[in-house]
Amino acid sequence: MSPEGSKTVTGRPPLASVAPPGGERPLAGIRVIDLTVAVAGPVATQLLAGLGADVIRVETPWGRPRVPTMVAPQLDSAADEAWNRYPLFNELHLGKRSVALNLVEPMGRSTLLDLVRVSDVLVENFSPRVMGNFDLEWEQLQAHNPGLLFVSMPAFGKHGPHRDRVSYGPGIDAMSGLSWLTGYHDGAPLKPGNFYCDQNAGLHAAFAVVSALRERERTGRGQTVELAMLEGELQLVGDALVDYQLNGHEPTRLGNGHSSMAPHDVFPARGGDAWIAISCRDDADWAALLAVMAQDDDARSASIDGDRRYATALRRWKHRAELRESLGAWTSTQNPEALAARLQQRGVPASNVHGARDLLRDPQFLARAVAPAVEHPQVGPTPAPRPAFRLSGTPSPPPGAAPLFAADNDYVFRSLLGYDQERIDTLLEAGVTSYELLERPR
Amino acid sequence: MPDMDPKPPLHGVRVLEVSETPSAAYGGRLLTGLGADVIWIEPPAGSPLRRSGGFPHDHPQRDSGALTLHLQRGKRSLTLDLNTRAGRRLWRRLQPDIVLCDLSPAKWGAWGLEPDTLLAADPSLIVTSITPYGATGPLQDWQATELTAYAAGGYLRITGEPDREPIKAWGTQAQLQAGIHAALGASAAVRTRARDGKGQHVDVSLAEAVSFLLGGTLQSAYFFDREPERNGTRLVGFGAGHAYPSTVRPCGDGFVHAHCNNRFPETLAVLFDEPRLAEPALLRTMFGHADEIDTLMAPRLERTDRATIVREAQALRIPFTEVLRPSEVLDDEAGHHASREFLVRGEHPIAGAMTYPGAPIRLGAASWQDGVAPLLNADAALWDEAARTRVRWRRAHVA
Repeated sequence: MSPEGSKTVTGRPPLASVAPPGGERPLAGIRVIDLTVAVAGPVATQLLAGLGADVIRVETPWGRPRVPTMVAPQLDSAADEAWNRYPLFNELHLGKRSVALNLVEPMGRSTLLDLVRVSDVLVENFSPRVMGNFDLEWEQLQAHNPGLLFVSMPAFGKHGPHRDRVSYGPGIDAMSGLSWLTGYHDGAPLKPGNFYCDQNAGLHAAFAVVSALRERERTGRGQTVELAMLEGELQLVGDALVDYQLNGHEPTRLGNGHSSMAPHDVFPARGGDAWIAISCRDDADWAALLAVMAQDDDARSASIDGDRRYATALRRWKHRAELRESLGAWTSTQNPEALAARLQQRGVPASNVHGARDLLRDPQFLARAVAPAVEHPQVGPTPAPRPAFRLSGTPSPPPGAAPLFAADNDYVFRSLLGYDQERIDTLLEAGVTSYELLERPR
Repeated sequence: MPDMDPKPPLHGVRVLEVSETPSAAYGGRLLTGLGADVIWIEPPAGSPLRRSGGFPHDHPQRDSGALTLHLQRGKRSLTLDLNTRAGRRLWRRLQPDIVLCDLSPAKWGAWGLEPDTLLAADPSLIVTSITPYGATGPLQDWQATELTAYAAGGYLRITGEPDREPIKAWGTQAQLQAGIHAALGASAAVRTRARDGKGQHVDVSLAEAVSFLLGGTLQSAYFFDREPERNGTRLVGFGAGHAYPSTVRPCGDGFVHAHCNNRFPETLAVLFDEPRLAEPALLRTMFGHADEIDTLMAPRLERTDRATIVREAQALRIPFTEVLRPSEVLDDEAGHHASREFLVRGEHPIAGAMTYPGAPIRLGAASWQDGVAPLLNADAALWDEAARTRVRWRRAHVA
């Protein structure tokens, strides 16, 4: 966004742009019904949209929050249609369409079944009882479209004693063992990130869908795909579960430490909340680190080099706490970005501890267009994160912006389902659909 | 008459996994699970992955490292010395559809096996590379470990206590995430190849797999020009209006993950029999009252065991869960994993009988493919099969 822009917030960096699309994308021609909520499901369908699927998000007519806080931009007119301006929503629904439909009403349900007939995939991540409450289980859907992939992403699974437990992502982190394992070596269990198991589940689900479409093309038949978030996350601690069985004791919290490398830590750098991560894998990395240090402070480098506690890899590992202090005294005088570059020039793995704002300005991030700009009709250019792969022979343009509420009602009702005005009016009068966000009924 | 029996979706896809780290190994595990034939190509002394622990009795052994036992299940192993010219020619006899590799670009380049070279020799090949920063851009030659990739991708900064250094999540999370992106990208490439017969390079960046985890916070950072702040066990957030609790708290016999019911936050007052938890000022800005809410929950939590508080919270639809140790995950006291047949037994020739996490993906019409990790070069007989094969195996089997 140009600094002259009327709604520009100071410091907003320019975003990358990507060449326009050409050729056919992996999921071209695939239509996905998106009934997802929270984070995990939206991540899955966003990945499918990014691969070229036509994703239709079915939203309850009162389904978006209307509180005018946390909207973007945070300037004067922010209260206008606040529900279209949530950064979290707009980041998780890139490139999708939106149709408003109340599935509790019989007409809403029958409209969804019409949509099922012309779709390839349905993704939902409700609690397991919800699709049953709508009378929209696999048995019903299959009758309307035997080729459908019916994808469910429950927290704990569609059956089992914990089936009806309620939980968000962090509560699942806890039950997987990952929260217990994550933490400072002298501390209590910590959260492993923010929406960690949601992103993980979304990625697994997208992989499952893309793969399962191959089998459908061979046989013409659809099937159910179930991904329990807890079971997706337990893959990520499988080595801890195995380790416990091999040794009979719980794996320990390591913080930033490593079982054999040292230094392997996050060190303070110059500036507020500034840090640098450095790993020395072997003696060559260690020698290179000392050489970089000598450029700034020959005496310090010589003193550490001569310190018997740090003479071998094993000794450095045993004395890693003292090593942390010795190196920290040096790194805290350094700009983390510049120091990381100097270490990398000599082959030492090192990185500034980037924040999200740093990433938006990072040359590598910009060169690879990790979060290119897309134009949102109400908030303007927004960063649109993409998955971590580039396909050399298949166009992967940035996804479109997130849809405004109910923006694609006409596309769905008229173009896809062939409804006439009378039928659409009936849906509107019954409150089954809406072009504007409604109040939640009491 | 076409074969209409249900098969795993990636049946007939052959993958050569040249892995030294958990990233390509987990990508390969996902492809294996959905039916691909994954062959782990190792140097004669074994992949460095085999030297990653834990090990039985903490004593390193080539065939029983925890990461290998977990991630390499259901694959085959072949040794091949890619340092020799013969080794670099020989692998083609295995006629892979996908080469999945997490070696450093320098090593790949020194062997003359860069993605472009491979594609020039066989345009139908799908070359999936996982490199620290991706195969393009000014930092394409930078190196990374799990820790520095976590830092580069922006996720390290939001994990940990606000007044201490940021810390990474336990284990090899960045690399496992990169593995999922690799599997997704490779599967998408299998799909486009079925249409046009062309392979391609799937270029995966480890650092970007980390930054993908920031999803949902980038636009906020962009518009508000503020860094999301790490908050210990609390949600990373920007303002007092966030819901709370979402945190880990100590209780009578361990730790519990406490979360409010977002729609009915006042139910917390019922669970804790504490009317102050339903005061309007507190409910309006719950995150702003986080310390106070922790204090109000503490007395009951301290005298209550995990199972009780979780049971009572869940009965009120308040999403409390237990913070479980790895041993407790395996114990499966509630019988949840058992009823879902999730934890599976595998008999490994060296490590013995063991319980593993089973399928992350359950398909209605096909089972997840599991097994145990192969011993080094356990499948050398594949060379005989490759020598016998005269037809283009791939053309015949892959749609």
